Amino acid sequence: MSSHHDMERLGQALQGNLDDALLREVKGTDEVPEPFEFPPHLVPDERDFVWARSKFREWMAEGQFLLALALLKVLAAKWGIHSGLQALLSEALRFDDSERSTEPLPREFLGTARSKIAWSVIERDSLQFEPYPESGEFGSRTWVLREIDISDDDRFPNGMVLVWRSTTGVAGTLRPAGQRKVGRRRLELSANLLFYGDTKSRGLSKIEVEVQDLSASGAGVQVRDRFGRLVAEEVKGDRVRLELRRPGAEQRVSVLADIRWAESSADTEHGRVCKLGLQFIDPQPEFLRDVEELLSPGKGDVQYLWSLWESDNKA
Amino acid sequence: MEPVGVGQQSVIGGLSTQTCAIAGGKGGVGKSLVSVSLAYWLGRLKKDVVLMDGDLGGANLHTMLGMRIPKRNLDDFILKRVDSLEDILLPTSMSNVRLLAGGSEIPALANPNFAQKSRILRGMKRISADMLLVDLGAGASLNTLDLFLACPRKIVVMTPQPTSIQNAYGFIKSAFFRNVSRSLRQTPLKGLFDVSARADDPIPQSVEEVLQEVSVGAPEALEDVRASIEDLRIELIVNMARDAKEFRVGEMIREVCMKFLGLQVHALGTVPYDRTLENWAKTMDKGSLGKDSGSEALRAVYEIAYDIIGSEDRQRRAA
Repeated sequence: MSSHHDMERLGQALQGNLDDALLREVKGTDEVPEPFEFPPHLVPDERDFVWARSKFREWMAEGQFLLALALLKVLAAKWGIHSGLQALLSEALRFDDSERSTEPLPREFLGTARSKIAWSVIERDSLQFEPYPESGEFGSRTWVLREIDISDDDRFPNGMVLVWRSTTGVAGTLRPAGQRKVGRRRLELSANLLFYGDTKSRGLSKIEVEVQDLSASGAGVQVRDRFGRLVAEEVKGDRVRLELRRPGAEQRVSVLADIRWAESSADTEHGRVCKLGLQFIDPQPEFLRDVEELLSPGKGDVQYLWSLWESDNKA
Repeated sequence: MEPVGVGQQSVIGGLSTQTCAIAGGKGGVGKSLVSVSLAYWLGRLKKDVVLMDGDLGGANLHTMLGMRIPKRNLDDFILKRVDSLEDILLPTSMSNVRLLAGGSEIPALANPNFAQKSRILRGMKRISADMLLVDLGAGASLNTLDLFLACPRKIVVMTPQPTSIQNAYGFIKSAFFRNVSRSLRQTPLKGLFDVSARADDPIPQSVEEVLQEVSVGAPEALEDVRASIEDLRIELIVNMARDAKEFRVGEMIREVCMKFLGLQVHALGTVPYDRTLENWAKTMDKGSLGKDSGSEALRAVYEIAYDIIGSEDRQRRAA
């Protein structure tokens, strides 16, 4: 199978032409592959890139921004992010023509012209074929690229959709139109850190921490370690679970994280103060939703007020 | 005694420093009770006090002072039956305290037009008294905010209840935005806080965002905006506090206001919960206020009144 043939099939798949694309390969089974496997080979060569650039620009010119970005997304997953794709992404981010837009504009979709963040969105979100939901509702932060009528297949009575589902709906990486970009924000929020493995065997299982800054990808936390159990050098690299509750929320949410850096300060009258830098691992949508709430522009002050109030009540 | 408008002139509205607005984002926080008991103590401390009902849509301060139907009220002034607010002041059972009762004849007075607002403010400037206390209505309507901002001394009353905390902060934040927007009236950013005019662009929510917007969109107004933020001083009274934890609520508001709005909010005092004021409000016995000398709440209000007089005297001496 030639590489170029794969590119053609990718184009057809993205446009919902499933008869000619890969869905036919799952006919006869009861399962819909998740995520749907786009053409697996896609070995890049100059001819493929020329095709991709041409297709990308064609869709952009038609105002099909999401489709164009979806192409970049699939290619980046297969090829890795290279300069050619970066240049195309920059074109998308510079494009701002609301009259021709039939879909969300790139600036609305990506929230910022900073290509790093744009790539983060493109890399992290999922793009897949799904049965059309019976409720007709897709949930928030889901963009439907294509609706596909496959009435001859009784496994999908309502047809299928190709959806771009965002998992990074956090200010600073992806924001709906009309919201201000906010990066990492300083907070004072009580949370728990749960340890596993070696660290747990050293007597640390769950400690209370204060989240001091937070973003979609990580957090800075501070521990008042009265008994000197936390040794910065030993916990660096450990895997932990951060468990927090947004002020006003009923449920706690948690996320796995790696301790990327750790610093201990000199002893104080309350014991040693240890600061840890956490990098989140695959944060779940509910966790990201709460992070988004915490970081939302215009809510930071109210959240801060409530976290003071709750801390005081807890004390 | 001198007209309150004759003393040290404030930047906003031309009212003197002896004019004090008492507001609260939420109804039922005891704002009017605090106003009345403050007036009571200021009167007892030999100050000539005018207590004005600034709740333009729901005046009832007269009822609290035992007057079912006041003989004269703000309507008489608005409808030009009298020339001066002085002409409608009513004596009260509290020594040295006169009441400026709110109106009820003119439904539209809840939302006065510019001319009516100007007339009220001009009238307030000419009142001759040592202290004019303006008891504002609940909520954060533009008219309430304007009257609040027009008074040089601004007090927000709140209780330790979460809803009151939220509303007190919301009121202060609204006052902050309204105050900044005054400095931007003649600039391209005059609609900076108008949600309907900025559908695609969120309104700034913190002092940093405000200053950033102004430095880009109306740099010529930047100094005025900075000055308006620096000059805005708000004082806080926490009412009905029951324990040490509730006494600290004012500190939270102070911290959030400084951190996010760059605003100086000062704790003026905390009034502990006791039933004296509540009982007095229920019975509306015009002679009974102050009789319960053991009331902790009244004692706390006395401390606040004493502080107000002290700071007024210091300001007058400095002027």
